[in-house]
Amino acid sequence: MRLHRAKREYGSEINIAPLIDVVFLLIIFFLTVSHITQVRVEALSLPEAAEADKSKYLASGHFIINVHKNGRVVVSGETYETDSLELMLRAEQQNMSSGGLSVLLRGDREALWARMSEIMQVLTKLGINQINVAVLEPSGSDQESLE
Amino acid sequence: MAAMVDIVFLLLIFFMCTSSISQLESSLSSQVSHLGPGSGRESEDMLPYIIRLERVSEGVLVSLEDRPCATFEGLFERLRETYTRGGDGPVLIKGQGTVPYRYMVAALDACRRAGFQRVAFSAKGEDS
Repeated sequence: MRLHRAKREYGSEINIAPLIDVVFLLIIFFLTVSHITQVRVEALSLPEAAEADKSKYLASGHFIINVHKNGRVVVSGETYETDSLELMLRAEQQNMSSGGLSVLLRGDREALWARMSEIMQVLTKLGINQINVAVLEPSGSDQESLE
Repeated sequence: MAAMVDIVFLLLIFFMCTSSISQLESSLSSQVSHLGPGSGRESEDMLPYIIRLERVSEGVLVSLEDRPCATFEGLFERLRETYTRGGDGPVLIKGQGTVPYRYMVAALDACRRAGFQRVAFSAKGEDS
């Protein structure tokens, strides 16, 4: 009888309610973070560069312009033509209290330079001469070939 | 309860993995110029070294100061040579409109690796 009672005490359940609370909080955090990132950052195949600066990308306050392979420009989930992009950027600049707009240009690796330079012309028109281009760190040792 | 904990942990692992994948992106800073060499602004400074990218049938032709390079590694070697000889002069990257963007970034990357800090994309027209 004594032996039976001792066995019961040993097998008592651990209270996992606080663990579940913490895990749920973590899930909500990651859900929110991934949602915010998805709204501003489109799924693109970015070009690779070895000399990339990760700290600059992670710095907040970048205005992200996504350019798809077919030349479609997307900012915060909305598609813009060249003219409307200029108007929107102008408005964005006027709303800023101090300093210039810090632009992060995320272009698809196969997007044509004609489209990219069109967007850069819009930026220079607004006095934005310094930009950051989003890149990926090289996956292997293979260099960009010219063919 | 045990099944729920399993699902919750799976969800947690999923979101942790996806958020770390998005952080693998990084950035390269660059200047944008709508002016060509000798058009006024650059004349106050040193004339920029020009990298030109043109679309040819087999791929892309890249040249530094009108001298073609066989590969981007070759461009990097030439840039490094130029950098050690002449110091940190400005570099202007010009591309034909039909050149894919990744080649322009590869040229920018080669400049950065060689040590050049003042690198600009020329945002003129199709035949800039």
